[in-house]
Amino acid sequence: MKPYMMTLTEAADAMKRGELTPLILVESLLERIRETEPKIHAWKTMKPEAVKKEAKKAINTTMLSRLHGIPLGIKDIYYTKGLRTTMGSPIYSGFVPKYDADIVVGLKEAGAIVLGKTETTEFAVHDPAPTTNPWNTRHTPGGSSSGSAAAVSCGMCPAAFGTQTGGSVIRPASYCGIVGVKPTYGLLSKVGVYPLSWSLDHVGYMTRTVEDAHLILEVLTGKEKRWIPRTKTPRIGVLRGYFEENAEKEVWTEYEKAVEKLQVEGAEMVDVKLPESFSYVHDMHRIIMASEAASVHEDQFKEKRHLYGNYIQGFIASGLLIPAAAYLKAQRLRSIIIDDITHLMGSYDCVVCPSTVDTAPEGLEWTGSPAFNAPWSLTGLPSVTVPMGLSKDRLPIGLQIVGQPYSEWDLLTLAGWCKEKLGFDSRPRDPYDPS
Amino acid sequence: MTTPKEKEYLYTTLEAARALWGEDETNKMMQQLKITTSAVWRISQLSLDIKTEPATKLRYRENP
Repeated sequence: MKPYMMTLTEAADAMKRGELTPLILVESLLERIRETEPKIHAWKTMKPEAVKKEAKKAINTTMLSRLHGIPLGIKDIYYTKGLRTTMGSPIYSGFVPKYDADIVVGLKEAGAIVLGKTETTEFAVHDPAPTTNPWNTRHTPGGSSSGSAAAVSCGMCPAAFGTQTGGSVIRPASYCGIVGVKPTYGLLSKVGVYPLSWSLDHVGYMTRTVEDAHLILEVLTGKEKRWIPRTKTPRIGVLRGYFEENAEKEVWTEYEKAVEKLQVEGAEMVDVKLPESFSYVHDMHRIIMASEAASVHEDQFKEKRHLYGNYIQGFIASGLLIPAAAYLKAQRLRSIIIDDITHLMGSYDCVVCPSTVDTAPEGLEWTGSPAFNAPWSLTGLPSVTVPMGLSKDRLPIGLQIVGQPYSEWDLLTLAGWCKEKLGFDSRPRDPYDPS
Repeated sequence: MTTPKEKEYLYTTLEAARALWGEDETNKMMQQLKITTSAVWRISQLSLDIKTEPATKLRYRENP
């Protein structure tokens, strides 16, 4: 097997056994990038020679963690010392941070290597990146963590970091057929990540297997929680209602098949009724995100509005006109929905719903709807997506698994159980170009 | 169904936008302005108990 095809865990274990070096892995990944990047456009900035130098350095140092010598992709809104960070905006096209984001510090301290900066939509909102979907290059990979999802999906790196304010980790991961993790709000530090909406922003990441996702969390939290596959059958709350009304037919059919399959495998699948407060979830999310984004951008918006893309211009302008009382009312309603949802979830190991409304839309102008992810960004609950099937056009469809605050360890083993039962080929995807 | 009061609220918001950014720019940003204004209108119609305090980003800051 070529090293780029290895999962993160396989590569880490091979390095521990002395069968793989960081340099061999880096060279294999760079070769894979040379082959696939012209079709995928996942990377904004990369310095191959500097990366190889880091890999050589890693060979000669003591192993710092299981991530030692593992190259990772970092979304281009994380500050990286000495490495250009553009936020997907012409305003920052030449910006080189003087320090690393906390997550990047943690990864480097663990011995990981920053392979490069992955493409993002402009300021992590909707104006798209040039990245395409490896499953069909005529389709969007989703956003805003577009480059990270596409890069992991086609084997340019074993894992990559993103952020989620609405659906920017779970949606692209689902569209690209990989695993995405949005941990509980505040679990992973956002220091050094360009903000979009302070009370909604989450740091998250993507891998090809759930075990890999577990390994990353283990290293970043400094907690020794070795991966032990779940054997106990779970009690799962099944969400329908709003999700059924808004999902495309094909997505819903796959979801129902997955629910049935998990039940056959022994899970207790129980229908869950959404609370009344859920009907205001998108209004709350919109008001809070637009208000906070307007505050983040207010100063430079005055001087450089002409440098903002069409979508984000309107979004910021609309946020500047929201009355303070409306923002606070949305935040008050938010406390009700957080209580309602966490109370409802108390009876289950997790709740599930589809990860996205649809499969990856055709064209690169629109990165898809965050409608099925925004509720979990709003409530701050941890969520994981695992692939559950393919559409008739062979585009991935994901299952979103949501847990109680700080239940990540259980949630990941549960997601691993679901992924195993649902079955999905997690090997790197060769880009499919229908033309 | 848009009520006359909601229409009036949207009109007021768009007037504020025109005053700040001009007619042409407001027209370009119209879709986003309308979506946000509708959300504000719907939320403003709800009555909440005075005891309901805003959620804050402090809520999940401490990892138990």
